[in-house]
Amino acid sequence: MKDSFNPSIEPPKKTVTLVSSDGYDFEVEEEVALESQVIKDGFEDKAVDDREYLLFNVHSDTLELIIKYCEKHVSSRKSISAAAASSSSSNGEEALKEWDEHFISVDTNTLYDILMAADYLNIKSLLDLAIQKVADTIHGRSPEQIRKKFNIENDSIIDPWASE
Amino acid sequence: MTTIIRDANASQDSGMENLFEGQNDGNGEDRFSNLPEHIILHILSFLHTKHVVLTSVFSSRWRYLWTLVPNLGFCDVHLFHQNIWRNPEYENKFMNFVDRVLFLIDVPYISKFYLLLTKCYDEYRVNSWITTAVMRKAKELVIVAAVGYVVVPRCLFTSESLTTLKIEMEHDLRMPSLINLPSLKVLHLGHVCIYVDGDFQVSFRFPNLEELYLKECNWMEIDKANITAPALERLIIEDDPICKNDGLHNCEIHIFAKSLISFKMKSNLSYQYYPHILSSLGDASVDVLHNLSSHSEEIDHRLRNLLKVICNVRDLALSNHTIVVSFTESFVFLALFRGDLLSHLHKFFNSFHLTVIVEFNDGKRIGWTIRHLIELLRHLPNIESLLLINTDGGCAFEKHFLIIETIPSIARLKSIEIQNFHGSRHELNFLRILLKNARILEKLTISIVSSLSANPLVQVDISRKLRMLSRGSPGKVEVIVANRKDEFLSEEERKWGQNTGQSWYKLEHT
Repeated sequence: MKDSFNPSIEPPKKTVTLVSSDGYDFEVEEEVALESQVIKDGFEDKAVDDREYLLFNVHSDTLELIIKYCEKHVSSRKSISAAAASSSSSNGEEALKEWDEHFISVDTNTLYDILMAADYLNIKSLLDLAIQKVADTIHGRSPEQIRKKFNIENDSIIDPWASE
Repeated sequence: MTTIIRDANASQDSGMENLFEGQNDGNGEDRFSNLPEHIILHILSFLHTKHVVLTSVFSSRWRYLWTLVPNLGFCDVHLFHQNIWRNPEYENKFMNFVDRVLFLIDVPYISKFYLLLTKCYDEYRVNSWITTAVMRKAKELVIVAAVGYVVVPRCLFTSESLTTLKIEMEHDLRMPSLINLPSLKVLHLGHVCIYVDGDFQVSFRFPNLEELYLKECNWMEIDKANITAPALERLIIEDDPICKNDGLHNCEIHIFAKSLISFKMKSNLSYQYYPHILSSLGDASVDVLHNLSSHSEEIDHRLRNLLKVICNVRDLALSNHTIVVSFTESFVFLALFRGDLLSHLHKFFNSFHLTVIVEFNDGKRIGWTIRHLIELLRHLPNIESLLLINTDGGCAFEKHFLIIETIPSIARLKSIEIQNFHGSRHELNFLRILLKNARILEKLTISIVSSLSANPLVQVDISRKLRMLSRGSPGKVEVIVANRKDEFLSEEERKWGQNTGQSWYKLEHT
């Protein structure tokens, strides 16, 4: 089902094709793809029918998540600004935060995949979200707990800070 | 042509590696340590320095990674918990820790430097820590010293890299007579006593400053301070609410902020503030704290000067921005005692929304009375909305003498909101007068104080009384009685609201 990924049925929307490392095509709306700074840079110079990006470092499983994230952020940004324009109160930003929180609650391996992909595609808000998640995991844990959590093999002999 | 996005930070090999690895399940694998260095450093920059340094014991890969993190935060309590209070030995340990981190740190510049101290430390060492941070071109510098002596180095006042500076300490802050911080965007000063070397004047130049917060700062032996901040958007000045020294200082503080948007001030006016503003303010809040017994012509003069600033702004403003001014009781008392101040008020605002926060503190202070409110309203001919916030502590509407029945000035009032309504006879009386005079009122919102909203009988009773008030407005008035438990209201009450045609009584669940 991956290659038939098509979130929109409105014809006039311009689309971009993203190809995952394992060879799946993802057709996404232009503005969704532009969440990635890497794609955004130099985007305007490219011909409209030439908008295909081969993402060497992103597996289709991860790309699906990344696209889900970008689509959510594009659509909430629109609804938040619409609410602001009509001066109606909205808790859009809070809802989005909650959504983010839920989105990033994944297992450690998926978290690394998201982290690497966000770094590679340069999606700042997602990178910060993933990094904050890792930082939260480290925070307040003893080195021994963290070693265990992250499978870090202790090859150092001295432990000068442990006494602090 | 298909675009291939390559990772600028990874070699092509590692890219291919990832490709073939696919979605590795990585059980037992240390993917964390194998993350690219720039990502690890990014992660570490989100952590407190204590945890960052602790990563050095993970493994040999991690041994010196922490020295590349440009964010440093030192907090003695955070580092040693409560031990810092029990054992004086920890003071030395803390200082050694900071020294050692700063000695080993291997970054060309420091990005953030936080120093939160709850005990006294060697002033020379503290000074050298801050100096190191400034020399390494720190962008964000936060110094909070609960007690003790922090001598801020001179280089701080000419730093070209600083974008955020926050200093909070109950101590002297000595500075040169010219402070120039070209990159500074945010400046918070709290509790400091500002002294200037060998001069009675001080000039601050902040070409890029956006936010200035002066919290209970004292200007010592200074006659004049000029703060030039053409890009300033938010200005907050708060003076000590408990005025230890009731004396008036002759220090003039001029703030040149031509693009100010938000201005908040809570002051006893012991200093003379002169904001020079040309822009259209989005919101302004002026709260004058002063002991009535000691108010003088001088205070009056200073207050009028201050209000003139807002007034001028309003006159210049072409935008639709509304100035929200919240007057607290002290201001109105002052204004009432000085009749001419009140009579100036109508000149200040063309159209506005009034927020009154009614505080009833401890019985010693006299709360708002209806007479005061009405007096104030009489001087605000263009008022469109009124928000009255009653504090939970008690009903402030008890003491009054009703004399005035007509308030022609509120003819244009469209919306009234009362929060924490107690439903007392006096409050209802006040509402009655408002409703009678507000000829084009569109909306009345009442939220009942939480202690009463639990009692259905009281609530029904208040609702009934509200209905009985006559209105001056011929059109529909939407009345919303909101509280947390309005399911107590009977079905009849709801029906009544629907049947009256006018939505005079409408329930809304909150």
